Amino acid sequence: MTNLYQLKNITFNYAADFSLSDINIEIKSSNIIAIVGPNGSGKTSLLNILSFLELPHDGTLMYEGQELNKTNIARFKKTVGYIQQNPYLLRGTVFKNIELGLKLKHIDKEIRTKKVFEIMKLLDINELSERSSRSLSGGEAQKVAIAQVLVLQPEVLILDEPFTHLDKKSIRDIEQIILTLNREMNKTVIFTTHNQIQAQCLADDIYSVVRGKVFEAHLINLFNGNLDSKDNTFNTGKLLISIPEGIDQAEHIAIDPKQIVVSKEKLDSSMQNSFSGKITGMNEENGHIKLGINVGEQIQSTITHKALEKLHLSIGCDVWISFKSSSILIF
Amino acid sequence: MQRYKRFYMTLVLCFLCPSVNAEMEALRLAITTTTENSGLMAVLNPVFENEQNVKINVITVGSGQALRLGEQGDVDVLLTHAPEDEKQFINSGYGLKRYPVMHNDFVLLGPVDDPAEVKNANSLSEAFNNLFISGQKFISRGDDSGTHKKELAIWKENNLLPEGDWYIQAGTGMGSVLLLANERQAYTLTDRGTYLAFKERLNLDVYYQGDSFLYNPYHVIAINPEKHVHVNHSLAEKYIAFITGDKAQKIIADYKFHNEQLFYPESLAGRIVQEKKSEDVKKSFFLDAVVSSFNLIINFDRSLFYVVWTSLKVSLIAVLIAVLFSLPFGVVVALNNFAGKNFLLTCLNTLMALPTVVVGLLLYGMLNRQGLFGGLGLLYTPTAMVIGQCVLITPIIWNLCIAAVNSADPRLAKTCSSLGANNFQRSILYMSEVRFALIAAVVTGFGRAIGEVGIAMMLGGNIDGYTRTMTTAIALETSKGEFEFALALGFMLLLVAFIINTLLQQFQLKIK
Repeated sequence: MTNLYQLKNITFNYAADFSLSDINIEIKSSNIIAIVGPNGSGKTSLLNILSFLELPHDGTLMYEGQELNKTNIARFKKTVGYIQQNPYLLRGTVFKNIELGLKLKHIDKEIRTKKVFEIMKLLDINELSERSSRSLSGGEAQKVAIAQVLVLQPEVLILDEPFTHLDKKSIRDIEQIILTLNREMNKTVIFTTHNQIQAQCLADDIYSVVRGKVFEAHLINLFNGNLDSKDNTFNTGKLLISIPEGIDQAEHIAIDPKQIVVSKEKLDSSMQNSFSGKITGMNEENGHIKLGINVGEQIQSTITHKALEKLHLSIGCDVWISFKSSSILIF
Repeated sequence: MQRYKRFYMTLVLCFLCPSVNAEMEALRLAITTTTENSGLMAVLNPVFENEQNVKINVITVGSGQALRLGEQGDVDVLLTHAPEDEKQFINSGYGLKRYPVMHNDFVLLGPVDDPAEVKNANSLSEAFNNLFISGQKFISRGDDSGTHKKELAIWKENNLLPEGDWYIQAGTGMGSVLLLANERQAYTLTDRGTYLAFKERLNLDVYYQGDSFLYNPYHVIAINPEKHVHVNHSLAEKYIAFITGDKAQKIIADYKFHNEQLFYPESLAGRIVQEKKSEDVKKSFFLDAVVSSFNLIINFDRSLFYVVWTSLKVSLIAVLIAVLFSLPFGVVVALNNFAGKNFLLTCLNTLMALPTVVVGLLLYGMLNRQGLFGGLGLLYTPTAMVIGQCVLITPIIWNLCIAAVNSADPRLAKTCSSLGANNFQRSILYMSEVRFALIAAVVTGFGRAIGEVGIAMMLGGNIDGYTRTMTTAIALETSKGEFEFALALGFMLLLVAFIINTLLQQFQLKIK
């Protein structure tokens, strides 16, 4: 699979004191990409850049192997279908809404009608055709908005928070649509969500956006809690975790599972955080072993096959985990 | 939708058709409010119009203003009653010669119990001295009219300086002054014609009359074509020949209002008959006026509906032109950022409060014969009113269009962008989404245009059957004491507003 997008050292200032900085990611074509992160972290700005609605303030953005510049942005834009959060439909019927993009391109009525019906059939919204756009439920409106851009045959579909404010059935429908678009039509789909599990279920790749930084892979061992900046500790309610000095604001921390050392005895090392607990789960993934360990909080650690054999681990084993304060992501 | 389109197209075409009046040869005649209030002109002028197959456009102002219109060449002929000023007018070369037409006299009116004891005065001088010493309220026209000039001359003649709380300067026409004097129970000097026309409505009596100084002659003067080449001099001469001729003089002699003779023709010189005192019958004028006004509407009174038609025509054309300009520029300003945008918005907000009389005044300065665009001869035509109303409502519609587009859902911008709309298509989509707010903007502009009186009066001149609109007619009829007609017009104005709003509501339901 080729790289569709390549972002190198991208910077984008989106509000007085918020900015995306040093973004380095690659997005492969025909993949489903999930972007997760809390509100205000910069997800929508990242989507605006990926859909060419905004130009990055610094860095290089490659698309289909070409560097983005002012001359090719219009052409790039046409290959991307962007569906904003809580999409806005125009007055009139659903059919008219879906037809509009084609109409703006001065496509013949006959072809327009044919294409609109194809898309409505694909998304299973034929029965909405003559309904007024203002009478639709959230899920129906979301589907119509997808149809509205899909009829223009974009290569990439970008959806901003497509699942917010939807009921369970509609969420399932939209998830199904995303999978269909990707598997049957070979579209690259990029969406943002709050829901980590949903991201994991749907996406081939996950990026986490936290305070203007983008991390490859989603955040694991993510905890909410309170900072004690005097003692340089972070209290999750069940664990008191030592963090580096000089941090004066933190609401969440995440611990990289690869940086967590598992041992049978307490290690005598410089690592400031050491907790004992029991192994609660174990499974193999991509040649690594994922361990679930209960140390008061449920912690996930990734170890190698070799380490597993050496330590003779099994479910229910008592173990110690240790990690450096510098391996903690604080935000 | 299709049905509506055809309806609106027809409407627009109707209004664009030129008026018959504009094509007929026309004489511009300035007369004083005292003559207009008497109703004499409505009897006299049609005779001339039919004989000559022309149209007389009558502009009703005070004598002073009438002479100024003559100086500027905005009219062809004058009928005034300010002898001294008329002489000066001719000496300055603006007019050719003045011909006596008719006369009546001035009378001094006052409250029933005559608190200033004017009744017993043996001379005009004594009457005014009594008035001055008593400190009783006196209402002066204060509008540079013939009556005003006469009143000032009397004070001056008697070495009296009218000043103080008791001396009220109304600055309005004769009819309004009589009504004001009645309300305040004050003294006032009036021409007999207007007094007789209003007599039934007044609780005032004549306390002094008959002095030769109170003689009130009316003269007709043609504007000197050498000063203003564009005046219709030949028609003006015909009019003078007519009004001083036997036929017209007979009409003047026979003209009666409430069974009273108002004017005495000069050629058939007659003496002013001592006015008989009659018992004043007070009635509930307002109630009567309401009943009569409904009769006028129900009976489809021709002059009433012509006035309504003129109002609609002028205001709708003004709105059409204003919209053609304001709508596209409103959308462009709202959707784009540019240097000076905030300044423009501040200016538009300021112009929304533009008083109609200021617009009237500015355009009057430009459109009168001495003005920058005087050569176009637009003053006192419907075109001038359209221009004025356009100037008035363009900032309003423009500003409201900007507000309408700004009120669009902020997500619409991204929807337009993701559908690949170009700038023009984006503007169309915005207009379509906020169309109700845009229609409301247009209706607001229309309401302002059809309801204004300052511009219609100053630029239209309130010419009967030509530039008289609902609002100017209401102002005039009220000053004449014709409450029925004024009230009927008031109802029509509301009715028009109601019909337009109902149509709009139907339209909104249809296109929803």
